[in-house]
Amino acid sequence: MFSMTEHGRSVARGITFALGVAALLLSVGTGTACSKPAGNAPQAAVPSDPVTVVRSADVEKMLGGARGKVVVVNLWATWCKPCVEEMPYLARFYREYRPKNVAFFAFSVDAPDDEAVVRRFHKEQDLPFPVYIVDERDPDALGKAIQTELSGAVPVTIFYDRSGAPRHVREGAIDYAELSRQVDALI
Amino acid sequence: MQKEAMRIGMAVGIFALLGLACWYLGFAGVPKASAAVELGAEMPNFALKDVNGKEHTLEQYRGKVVVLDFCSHECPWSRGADPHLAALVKEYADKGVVFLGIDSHHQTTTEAIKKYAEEKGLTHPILKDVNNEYADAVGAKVTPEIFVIDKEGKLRYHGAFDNRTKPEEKGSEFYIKMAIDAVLAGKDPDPQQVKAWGCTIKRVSK
Repeated sequence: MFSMTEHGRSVARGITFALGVAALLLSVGTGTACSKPAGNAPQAAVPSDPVTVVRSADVEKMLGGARGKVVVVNLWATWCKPCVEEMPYLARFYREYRPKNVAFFAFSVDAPDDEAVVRRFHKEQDLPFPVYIVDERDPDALGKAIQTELSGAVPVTIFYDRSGAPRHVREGAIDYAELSRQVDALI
Repeated sequence: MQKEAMRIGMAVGIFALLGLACWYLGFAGVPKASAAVELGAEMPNFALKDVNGKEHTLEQYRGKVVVLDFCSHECPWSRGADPHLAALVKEYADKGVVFLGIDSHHQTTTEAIKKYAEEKGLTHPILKDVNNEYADAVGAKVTPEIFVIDKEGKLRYHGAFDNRTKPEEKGSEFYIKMAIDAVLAGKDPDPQQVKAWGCTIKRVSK
C-alpha cells in the first residue's frame, strides 16, 4: 500500500540504529542508571533449601528473572495471623497455577535470626513453595525492589503482568478466589 | 537530506526508548497509599469515645504534646510495644504529654479492648475509631503506628514505635521517645518519619 520513500527508509534506519545501540548497552549491562536487570537476566536458581535469607537486591533479581511469566508476590510473617490464615489458599494457588507458567514468591519479613521459627512453620504447614526471609527492615527499600509502594502492613499480595509491571496490590488477607481471579485476568 | 532523516530517526528512536524505560521503571497502574498528613501540618480533629464511653477530642488537648498510637490488641507488634508504651506513659505523666491509643480495626469490640487494657495494666485511654474514619483521615495503615503532635496541634513525628525486629523485643532506636523529647524541647525530631513492618488496620469496606 505504501511505497517507502528514501527519506522514510532513512528515518527507519535511524530508529533501528538507535534501538540497536540502546539494546546493546542494556545487554552489556552498562546502563548503570537502571538498576533493574534486563528482561533476559537468568533466573536466580531456586534453592533446594525451603527457607533462604535474601536481601532486597536479590528480590529484585528474582522478579527480573521471572519476566515473561505472570508473577505473584506475597509478603507475610509468622507472627501475622491473617498471613498464617491465608497460607492454605496460597499453597493451593501455587499447586494449581505453577503448571500454568505463573511464578509465585513468598517473602517473609520475619527477623532473619528467626530463621528457625520460619523453618519450623514451613514444615508444620507443609508449604509446597520455598520461602525467602527478606533481611530488610525498611518497607520503602523492599518496595523499590518490587516496584510497589508499601505501607509496612502485612499481608500484602502483588500481581505482575508478563512484562513485570505491577497490576494489582491487595493489602490484607486474600483468599483463593481472589488469587485466581486476579491471575486469570493477567494470563 | 538523508543524513537529516537519519538524525530524525535516531531522535525518534531514543525518545521512544526513553518513554519505554520510564514506563518500565515507573509504578504504572499501582494504587498509591492514601495521603497521610504532611509533617508540620495540622492534624485533623476527632471526637472519639474511649472504652469507658468518655469522649475525647484532639482539640481539647491543645497546649499539650499528644501521642497517638494506632493499636490493636490482636496484633503481636502492637501488643509487644504496649509494655514499653505503658512505661512511657508513666515517665511522661507530669510532663504535659497525653497518650491516646486508637483502635480502628472493624472487628474489635470495646469490651475486648477494655479487658486487654486491664489485664496489661494500660492506663492511657484507648479510643474506638468506628468505621476507621480517623485512620482514613490521617492515612494510618499499620499497627502500631505513632503520630506525635506538638502543642499547636501539628504533626511532628509519624511512623514506627522503635526499630525492633521482633514483636516483643525493644529496638535500639526508641523513635517515639526521641520524638517526644525533641518536641518538648522545641526541636525537630530526628528522624521525623519511619516506616516499619506491622499489622494491617482491618478496615470496613467502603
